Amino acid sequence: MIAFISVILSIGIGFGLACLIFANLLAKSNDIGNSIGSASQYSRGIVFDRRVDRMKKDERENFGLSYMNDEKYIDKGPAADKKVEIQR
Amino acid sequence: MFTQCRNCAGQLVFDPEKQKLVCKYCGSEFAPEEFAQSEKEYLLDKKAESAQDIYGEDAKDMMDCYVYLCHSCGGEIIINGTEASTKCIYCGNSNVVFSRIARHKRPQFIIPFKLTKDDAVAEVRKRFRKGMFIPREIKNFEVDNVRGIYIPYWIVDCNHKASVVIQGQVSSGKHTKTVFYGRAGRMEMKRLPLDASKMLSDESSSRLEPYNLNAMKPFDEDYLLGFYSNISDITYRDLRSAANARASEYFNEYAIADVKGASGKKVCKQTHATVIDYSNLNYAMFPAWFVTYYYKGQHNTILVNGQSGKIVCGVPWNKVLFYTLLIVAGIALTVTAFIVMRPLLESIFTSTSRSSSSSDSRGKILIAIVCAAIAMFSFGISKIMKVIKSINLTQDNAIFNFVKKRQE
Repeated sequence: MIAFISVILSIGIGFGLACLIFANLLAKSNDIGNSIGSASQYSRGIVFDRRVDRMKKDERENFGLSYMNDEKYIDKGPAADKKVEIQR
Repeated sequence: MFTQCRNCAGQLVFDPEKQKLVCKYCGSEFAPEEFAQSEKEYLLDKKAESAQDIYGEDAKDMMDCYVYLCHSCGGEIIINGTEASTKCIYCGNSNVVFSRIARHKRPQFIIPFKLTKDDAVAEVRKRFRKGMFIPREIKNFEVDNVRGIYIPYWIVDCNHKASVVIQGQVSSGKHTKTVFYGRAGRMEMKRLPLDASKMLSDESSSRLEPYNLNAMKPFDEDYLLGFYSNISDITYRDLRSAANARASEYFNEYAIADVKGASGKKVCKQTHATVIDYSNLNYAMFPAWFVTYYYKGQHNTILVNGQSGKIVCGVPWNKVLFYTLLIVAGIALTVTAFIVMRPLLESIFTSTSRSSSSSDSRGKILIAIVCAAIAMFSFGISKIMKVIKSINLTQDNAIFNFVKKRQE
């Protein structure tokens, strides 16, 4: 029985590890340039105004509702002339 | 539009290696800034007509094509609705369809090509040679086409506000439980480049980044000579959603990094809002080489950043070699694991203790081993799926048409 369990688990670990190693080698070899510009390059001054850890269900559902309700963050689009310029 | 050589009146083209305009006929070199606008001969394309006007009903399938006359030989140049520079099919001279740039918003900036066509192909070959699973035919690929294309970009400043709920796993004693974290905040984005061409997928263009924006120069049509180029064809709504998508991605990255002490973190609920500063919007053109080759009946398009030389592509792999090595390594690791695991399991299962706590720990060891195996398989398979996705992007018809459907 122990021998059987050992064989099954060894196959799982052996082939799982081989799959992981070779998938990484494949990605390194054949997936070239799979990255985009990093966040730090374009973004600055990130500020977290609210931080809640270990949220309860109702907290989760209502989180950020009032926070996002801010007129300043509604993109009304460019002025009419600029809109034409962009879309021209 | 074309700029004439001051010595022989031949056509000048931009040479990425010299960063100068070079005369194809007498070899004279000039800096693009040397030429005042008045010295440039503009292609009088007021008579530009749609293909349908010229060829009648037969041209129905040539949707959104325009016919211009080459300034050098008078041959017809047919371009699609978004091209701004191309080459004449008859004499090979470069043509910048100036009125197209003049009628549309003129780019403010340009990053000139730094890499020559030969450099781009050499970089690709050099990188392919390093690929362990790249088939030999691909390592020695025959180039089908190499085109230098200026891609239109909008450079955007924007403010982003978001609230996200992050789910993570926390271990407490013997148990692991799912915990939720809330993060709400603001972020400022500066000089975010967003691809302004609908024909090129955002995924391909964003992978070409980073471009060094400090090397941008004021736009001059002379930099387009010898290359292809497109103009922006997106609406401001497209621009807003592209800015929101990129900013959201970055915000989520920061929010996940801000949560400490949890593993397997992922965003499970999110609300994002992005406001673009339209008064500080810049329109620029960035360089990219598109190298195409055929492999097993499929066309593949490799993108090379024309400034930094970054290569973007997914390469079909040698499946026989990959699976053979995978199976051999799998067997070897299985044998090793068996040699280690059998005595370990024997010692655990044959231990004299028969208490419930020891049977608990036996069960936990078995579960941990099974979970480790499943995790390794799933990480491996997700990596392989990413490679396949990347290959599909390289073999995508849309990107191939973006490159191929231009005049030689």
